[in-house]
Amino acid sequence: MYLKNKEKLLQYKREKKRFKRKKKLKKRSRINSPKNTFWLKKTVEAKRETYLSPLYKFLRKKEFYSKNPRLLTSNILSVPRILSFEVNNKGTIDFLKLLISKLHPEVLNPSPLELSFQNCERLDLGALMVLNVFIQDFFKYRRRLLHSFKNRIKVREIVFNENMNPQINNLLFTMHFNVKINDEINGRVPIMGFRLIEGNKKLKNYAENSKGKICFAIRKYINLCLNRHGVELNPFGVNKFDNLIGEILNNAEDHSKIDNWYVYGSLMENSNDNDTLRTSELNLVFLNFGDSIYEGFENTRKENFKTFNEMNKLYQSLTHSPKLNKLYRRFSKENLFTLFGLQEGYSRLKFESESRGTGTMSFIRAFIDLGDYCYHSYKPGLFILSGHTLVKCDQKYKPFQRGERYFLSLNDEQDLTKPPSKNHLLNLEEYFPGTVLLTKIYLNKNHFMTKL
Amino acid sequence: MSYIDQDIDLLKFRGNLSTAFTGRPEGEKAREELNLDVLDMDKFQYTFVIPSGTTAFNPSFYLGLLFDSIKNLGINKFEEKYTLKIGGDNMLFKNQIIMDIEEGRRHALNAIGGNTGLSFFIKKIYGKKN
Repeated sequence: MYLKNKEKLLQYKREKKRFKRKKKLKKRSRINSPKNTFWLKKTVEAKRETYLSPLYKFLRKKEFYSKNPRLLTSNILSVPRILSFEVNNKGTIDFLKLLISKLHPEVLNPSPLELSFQNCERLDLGALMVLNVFIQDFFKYRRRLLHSFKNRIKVREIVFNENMNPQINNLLFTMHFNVKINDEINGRVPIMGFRLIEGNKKLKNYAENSKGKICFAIRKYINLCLNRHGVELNPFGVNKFDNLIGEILNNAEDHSKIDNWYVYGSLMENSNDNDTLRTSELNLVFLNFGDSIYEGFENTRKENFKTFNEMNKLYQSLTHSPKLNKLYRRFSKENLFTLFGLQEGYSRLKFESESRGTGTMSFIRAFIDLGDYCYHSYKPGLFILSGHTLVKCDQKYKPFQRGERYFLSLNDEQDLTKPPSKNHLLNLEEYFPGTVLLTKIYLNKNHFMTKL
Repeated sequence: MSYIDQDIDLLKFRGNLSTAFTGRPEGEKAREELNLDVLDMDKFQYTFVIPSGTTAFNPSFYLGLLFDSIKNLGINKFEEKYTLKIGGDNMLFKNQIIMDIEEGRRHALNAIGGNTGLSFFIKKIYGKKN
């Protein structure tokens, strides 16, 4: 009796397992059935749009994508020989537009996208940072889709061609691209950096104020860089950097059309320098997407009528004067408005509060105080790229004071009624949908022993 | 106006893991929470206490917090009513923060005075033409 029951129990268990297996197979075949695949595709297509990031939607609205059908068919993206907003503006913008067109819209493309730096000889940090932000944004979009569809869909991969110039390789390494550092080269090598920081402007309460935390973190990083030279920031240096970084982050947040802004930093050194000569190049890049400085003023001309009218009056006087208009021929209205917009007391958001317009000049002045080590090829600089305009500040053209205000004219005369230097205010062919601010400072032990 | 002096601690408005007061929206939020629009109209004196360990007091935060008070009261009455005290013993940092506050004050007075930057240069051009 006992044996019979045991047999019956075993048979029951076997049948139960068999039933479970059949059920599993049935479910799998149902999932992969043509009918189910069809509906899966339909659902994915419908949901794709809802998972798109604010950044991509903003770029699409600004038509920052490639419209060249010939280029859109290839799955190999070759980075141009020079990726720099300053030196190869058109080539750089065209490349970034093409990249965006090959990422989010083709997320379900099973063929991987190959990114090749083989031909690239010069890679500026501002352009590299934008490239990195686009790729990171795409990865997040991809993760959302995969999570939502429980990995039942195939998404586009990005692969890197490893053949590239070692200097370029090392620059990519500083941006935490998937490459190995090449320390056998002569020239600049990366020493340390921090991962791309993404700030968010949704302020819930004071404790979550990300700007203060990020400011503190960046300053700690700068101190680490200085420790390499056996020094650290004194209270003057701490205060200056906190003000500089704080004001830049405030600006980035105020003028961002999406909730995010981005920060990145890296430290590079020349591998040939000995301990005495060693000079570190500290780069900080701040990025936000939104209206350009000029667009911001144009779009608020009614609300900001006093500010806009003053800028326009000065612009008209300079460019319509028979004597002066020849001198201003190389500058567009946007270029000059961008320069005027950097002056103290001017802000695209002046209509919100009449005390606005302090941040930009504050950070330029702080930068001038900190970035005064200049020797041979080590030339510090602060670059502002916005829309079609590039502004370059350095020790040569600094802010100057008239009465109770500081001004920046970018000329020897320190006069806004005279044309700025053509090497410091540049008109760019292509449009950038936001503002990139890059500071490049040189740290040298002997120099800042007395300063910082 | 010689009434009871009350302290207003600004520590919580500095943010977690932060040593700097930064950001106009943060200053404006602090102003709202402290109800400064109401305090401006009362007869008491107040001292804002900048906590020790503070490394910077950005003009943007200063303006977000205090511009409306300076505008409503005028600078003299404002300075009689409100003072800023810096906590801690580090004189070097204190001196830097004093300069930050001075910077914020300068911006506030420029804005109230309607002193916009380009007017100087516009007058220069129109002066030459005449």
